[in-house]
Amino acid sequence: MNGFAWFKAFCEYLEGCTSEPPPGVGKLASGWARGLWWGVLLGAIILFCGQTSKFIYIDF
Amino acid sequence: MKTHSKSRASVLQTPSPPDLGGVCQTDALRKRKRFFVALGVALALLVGYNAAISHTARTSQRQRALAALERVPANTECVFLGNSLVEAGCDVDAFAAAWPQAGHAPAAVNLALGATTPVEHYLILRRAYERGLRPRILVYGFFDDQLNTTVAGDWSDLVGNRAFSYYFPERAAELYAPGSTLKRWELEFTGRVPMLAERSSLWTQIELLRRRIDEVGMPKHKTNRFGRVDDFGALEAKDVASFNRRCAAIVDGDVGFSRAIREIVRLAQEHGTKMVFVEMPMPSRHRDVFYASPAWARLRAHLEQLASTDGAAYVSASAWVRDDAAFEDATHLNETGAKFFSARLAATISRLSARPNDVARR
Repeated sequence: MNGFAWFKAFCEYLEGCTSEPPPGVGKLASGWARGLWWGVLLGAIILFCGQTSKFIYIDF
Repeated sequence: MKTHSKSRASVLQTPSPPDLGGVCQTDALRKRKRFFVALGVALALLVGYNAAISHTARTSQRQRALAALERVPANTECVFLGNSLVEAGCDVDAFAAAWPQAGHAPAAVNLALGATTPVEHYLILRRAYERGLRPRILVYGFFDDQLNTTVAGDWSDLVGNRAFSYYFPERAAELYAPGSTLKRWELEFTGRVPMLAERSSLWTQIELLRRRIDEVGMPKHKTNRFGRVDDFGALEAKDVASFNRRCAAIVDGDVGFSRAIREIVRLAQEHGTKMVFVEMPMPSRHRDVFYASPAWARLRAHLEQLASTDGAAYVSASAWVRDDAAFEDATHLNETGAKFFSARLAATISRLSARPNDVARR
């Protein structure tokens, strides 16, 4: 299964379209992968949560 | 020996039930371990983010201003303080060159910081005094009703250069919410976490990215050293009516200087510094729209009275720069304008030094 097919199967598994996860998903359930996932999500939130701030002065 | 053989046989004959308790325990342990590993990784990433943000913020204007504050020569005699109007408008070299007694100009430094309020100005001044500075003259530039307006210091307010308040949480809290332990804790805690205190360092980068994307295939917005030129019109009052209402409310209510300004005045008095309030130059549009109203004339008289009561001088310089080409946007002087204004300010302040509590109009 190539990368794209794997990703497609993974998305289908996530959305409930299929009940069987693609091979290797078990690794994503490890503590390391989950920690990385939540850490990256936190980072994304930190980066983009300031969109409502009114930036008149920009610190170039 | 016999007993042993019997029991062994019994074990072989009777199938033991599956050890469900052990399986569950192992499963729970595995889940717990997985949870703590995930938590550890996420926390490690958070620590990494904090380190990165702390590093990025080192080059921010506020941190550079703080570093510059630590290097100000002890023999400084004149300090310029305020927001970006002063930062852009006060040229220290032009001020010294235009001082009437050549060679006797007070050693001046511009400690103004853009996008700040009197609270941050107070923090800057207090730090300067703590460092041993004993200036003779403090020039405080302002516009509109900045001297009387109460400054908010909520979570949404303290971004950008206003994050300077997090560097001195106890003092800042006393100005935002006097006597509030909660406010002090809030500022102290936030100030210790770069991801919170310096959050706008990252947001700024995202904002710049958004602006770049926004301009793809579109005409570019005109920018200057502070931001987009058009945005600075937003700093002015919404309309004349609301501006007049604000002015009238201050005069009719006999509202004094804001707490932060009073603290600045007190600090200056304690250290024997002559304080000079300066109405910063404004382009003709601002003067014609806002400063031509009777409400502003009344507020100006009120401010002059307040300054005089506090033993400070008041310089009405809003109309000193008549050429709009000397402004780079709706409020800030450009380099040429700053030189012209600073030279005239030197002449005026040199006269004021000789005549305390004076009010300069033209």
